[in-house]
Amino acid sequence: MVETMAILREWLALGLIGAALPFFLGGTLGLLRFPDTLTRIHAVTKADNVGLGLLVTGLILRSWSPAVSAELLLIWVLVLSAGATAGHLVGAAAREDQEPAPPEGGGP
Amino acid sequence: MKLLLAGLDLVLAATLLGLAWAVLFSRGRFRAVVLFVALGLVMALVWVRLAAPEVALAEAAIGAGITGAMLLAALPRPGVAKPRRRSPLEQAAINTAGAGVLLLLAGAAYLLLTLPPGQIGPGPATLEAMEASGVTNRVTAVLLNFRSFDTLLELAVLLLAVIGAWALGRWRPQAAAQAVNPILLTLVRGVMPLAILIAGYLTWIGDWAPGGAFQGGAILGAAGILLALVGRPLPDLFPHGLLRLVLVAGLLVFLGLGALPLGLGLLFLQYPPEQAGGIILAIEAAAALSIGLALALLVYVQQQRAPDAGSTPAAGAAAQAAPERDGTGGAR
Repeated sequence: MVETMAILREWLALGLIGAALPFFLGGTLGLLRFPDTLTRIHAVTKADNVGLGLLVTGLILRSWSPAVSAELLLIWVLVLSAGATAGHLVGAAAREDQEPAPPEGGGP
Repeated sequence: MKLLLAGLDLVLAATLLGLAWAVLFSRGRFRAVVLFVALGLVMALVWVRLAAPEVALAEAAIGAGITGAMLLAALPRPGVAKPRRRSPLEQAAINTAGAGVLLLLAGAAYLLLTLPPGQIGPGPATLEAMEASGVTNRVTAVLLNFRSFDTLLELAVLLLAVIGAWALGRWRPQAAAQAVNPILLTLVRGVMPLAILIAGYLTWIGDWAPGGAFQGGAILGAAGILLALVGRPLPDLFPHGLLRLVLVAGLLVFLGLGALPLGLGLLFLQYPPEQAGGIILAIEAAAALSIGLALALLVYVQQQRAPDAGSTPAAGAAAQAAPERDGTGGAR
């Protein structure tokens, strides 16, 4: 029973990590291909956040230890807040540089 | 699996070389600095693949993070200073340094290829002497016990770099009540206690796991830079005498504890094995504080000279060269 659970957990972890990759790929593609700064930040912050969440969940399932899980969660919180703040700062700077921003300039 | 890892290594190596090329030959300094940061991050991944997590941590934190911030702060603002042409002497110096690096690389590659693996360097001797080091992390044992003279001198070099950089100017308190982005301020408020905690943790675990004074110090330095970004740099928060004391504390504690064995009839820095663990931890704690403050001050000095921080636009042009890089780049 315990063994089955471990195998199940391992596959679930692999699935989550695998599911994270397309989000990182998509975010990077958006960063490279989107037309202006605001849309680029939008792509990279949004998509990477989802990817990071999936990745961290998968890694927690894989490690299955309270200490490592706590560290991973801390990393998750720090990267999330740092990414959101950096995205906001770049967006604000881009807006200052640009002529009046588009009416719906949804920041990250 | 083996094939996959080999493919990963190849991609990493190719990316590293490509980025290095792009840093050297990219148009525009801002672009070059951003690429340099990316180079540092890929380099950290390469160190992980080489099973050197300590170096990876130091490379990501100091090589990419702090040095990147330093270079960014040293960049002239667009339109303020035109890039000037290099004099023939400068060009000759750059060429000589480049040729020297290539020569050293060729020598190292030759040694790697001719000598059997595992016999290069002091590896086997280190493993034999681990018992006497007082710690279980081999890198820390080498850095702070077997070859602690190197580390002592690195701290001295870092201190000299700060003194040299600050000898050229004096602290100008920040203009009061600068508009600070509220979201950034909230982030910094939340992150600051965590940064101090993580710095202490990284320094503390250095005895048995990847970490140590340079990694912990880099986190402290980054925290100091964040404080400056929200208009509260360390020299405005603390008495300057206290900061000077912290700046030299690492070196003084290192020298003091290194001299202790002399009283027992041992050599300088030859710690008795029973006390070595405690001595190393004390040195690392003091060194982490000094390194953090030194790194932050090296970035501040660039910000202070930046054209929009003061009233003299001409001062920015003189501050383009960044000799401080030697101080931190070599500190590992």
